[in-house]
Amino acid sequence: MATAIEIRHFTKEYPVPRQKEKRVAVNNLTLDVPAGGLFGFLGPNGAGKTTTIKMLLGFLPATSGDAWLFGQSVDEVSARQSVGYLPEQPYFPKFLSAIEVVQAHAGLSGLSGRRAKEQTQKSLMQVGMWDNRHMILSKCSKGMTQRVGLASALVGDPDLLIMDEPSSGLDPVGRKELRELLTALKNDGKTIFLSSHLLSEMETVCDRVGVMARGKLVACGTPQEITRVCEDVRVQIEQDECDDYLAYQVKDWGGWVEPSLSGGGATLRVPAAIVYKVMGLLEVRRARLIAVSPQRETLEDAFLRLVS
Amino acid sequence: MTQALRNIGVIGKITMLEGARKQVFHVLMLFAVFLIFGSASLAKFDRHVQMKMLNDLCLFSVFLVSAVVAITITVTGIPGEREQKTIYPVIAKPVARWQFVCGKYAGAMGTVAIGMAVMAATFTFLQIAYMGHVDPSMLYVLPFLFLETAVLAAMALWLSTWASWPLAWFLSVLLCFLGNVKFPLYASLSAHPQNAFNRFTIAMLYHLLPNLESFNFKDAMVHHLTVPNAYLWQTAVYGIFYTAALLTLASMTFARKEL
Repeated sequence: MATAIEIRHFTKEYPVPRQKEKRVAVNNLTLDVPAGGLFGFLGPNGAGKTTTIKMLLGFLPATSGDAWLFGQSVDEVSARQSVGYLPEQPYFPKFLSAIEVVQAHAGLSGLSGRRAKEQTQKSLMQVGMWDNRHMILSKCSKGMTQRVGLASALVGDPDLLIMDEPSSGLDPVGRKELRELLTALKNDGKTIFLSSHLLSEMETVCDRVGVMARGKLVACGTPQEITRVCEDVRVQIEQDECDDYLAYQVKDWGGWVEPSLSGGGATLRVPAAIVYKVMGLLEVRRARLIAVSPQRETLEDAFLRLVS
Repeated sequence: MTQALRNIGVIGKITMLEGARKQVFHVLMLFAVFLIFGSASLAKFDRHVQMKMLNDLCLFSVFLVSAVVAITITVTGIPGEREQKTIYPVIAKPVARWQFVCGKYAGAMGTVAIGMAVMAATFTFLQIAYMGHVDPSMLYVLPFLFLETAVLAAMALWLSTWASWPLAWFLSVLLCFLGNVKFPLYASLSAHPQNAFNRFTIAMLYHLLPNLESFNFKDAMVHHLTVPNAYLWQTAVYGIFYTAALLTLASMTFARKEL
C-alpha cells in the first residue's frame, strides 16, 4: 500500500531563554500514514501534534529527521501540491467574501479559469456555504468561517487532507455533516490526517490512530489494536424485583451488579471465565437475559491510559 | 514559472482587495482629496504663484498620503498575517516563501496605485479648473512618485520581515526622511572634520540609503524645468534595482522565519 505521509526521526527542539537545555516539542517521531483512509492524530495539549503538522507543511524546519508526502520531501514546495490544510480555527482576511477566499485558494492550488470556478462552487456546496458565498467573512459566524476553511482545504481536490480540530466551532448538525463528508472523502480514496480532541468522534470515523504524549508517539494502530479487551463480560438482564441473592452470588464469584436507573433491570459485570455459571444462575433465579457483550476500553479510556 | 506568477497574482489580489476595503484607507483617501482641494483654497496669490503653490502642495499631498499607505500596508502585511494566522492556509498550498513576499508587495503597491489614481484624478481636475489644461510634466512626475513609494514600500517590507511592525514603521519613516535629505545631510556632515570610523560610517550610510530625492521631480514641474531623458531612465533603473534588491533581501529573511 502506498504511503501518504512518511516521517522518519522527526525532532523539533526550541531554545529556552537563559537555559542551556532545549525544550523538545517532538522527539524522534517515526510514523507512516498509509494512503487512503482516515488517520487520527491524538494527544493532549502540548503533545507535539501541531508542531508535527507545522513541520509537515513547511511552516517550521525540523531540527533533525525527514518527512515525505506521497514520496516528495516536505522541504520541496511541490510536495504540498496534493495537500489541503484546515488549521484549528481558520482565519482569513476579514474584508473578503467566502467565494473570494475559496477562489484564491483554487488559484494557489494551480487551478485557473473555468476549472477554478467549478472547483470553488463544488467545495462551497460540499460544506454548505454556497448560499452564503457572498457573505463578508467579518460577518460570518465561527462555524461558517470553519466551513469556509474546509472549502479552502477541499478546493483543488487534494489527495491528502490535514485537519486540525475540524469540528471546532461547528454545531451538532455541522458535526454530523462533517462526519458524513469525511466518510465520503475517505470512500473517494482520499487520505485524511485528522488531529482532534473529540475521541468519541475519532473512534467512529478513524481507520488508524496515533497517540502522541510529551513529543513521542506512544501508540499507533487501528482503534481495535489500541484499545484493550477487558476480561469482564457485560450481562444485561431484566427482573421484576431486586434479587439480593443474585447480587450476593455474583459478588462472590468476583463480579458486581450495576442497578438500572430506570428500574426493572440490571447490568452484571462478571469475569469471562464464569459467564456460563452466571447463565445457569440466571435461569434458576428466573431473570430474563437481554444481552451479553464483551467489555472493551473506549478510545478515551485507552487515550487516558496511554498519556498518563 | 506560470504558477509562481499566478501565486504572486492571487496573493497580490487578496492583499489589494483587503487593503482597499479597509476603512482607514477610505479615510486616508478622503483626507488626501481634502488636502488637494485645500491647497487650491490656500493659494490666494496671483495666478502664476497660485499655480506653483497648487502644484507644490498637491504633489506633496500625493506623496505624503501614498507613502503613509505604502508603509502602513507593507509594514503590517506579513507580521499581521502571522499574528492573525491567515498565513497558514496560504503557505500550506504549494506557495514558496518568496512568492508570498512578492505577492504581499504587489498587493500593497496595487492599493497604493488605486489611491494614487484617485489623487491624480483630483489633481487633474484642479489643474483643468485653474489652468484650463493639464501640465504635461504630470506624465513623468506622478510615475516617479509611484516609483519612490515602491522603493519605500520594499524597504518597509524588508524591515517587517525581521522587526516588529511598530519598530518597522518607525524605521521606515526615519529612512524615508533620511532618504529625502541624503544629499544636504551628507554635505553638512562631510564639511566637518571626522575621524576614520565616522567617515566610513557616513560614507557607508550614504551609499546604502536609498536616494529618494532623485525620484522627486516636483521642482522641475513647479518651475517648468526640462529633465533630460537619460536622467529619467537612470533614475527608473536605479529605483527598479533598489526595489528588486530589497525584495530579494526580504524573501531571504522571510524564508528562514519559523511560522
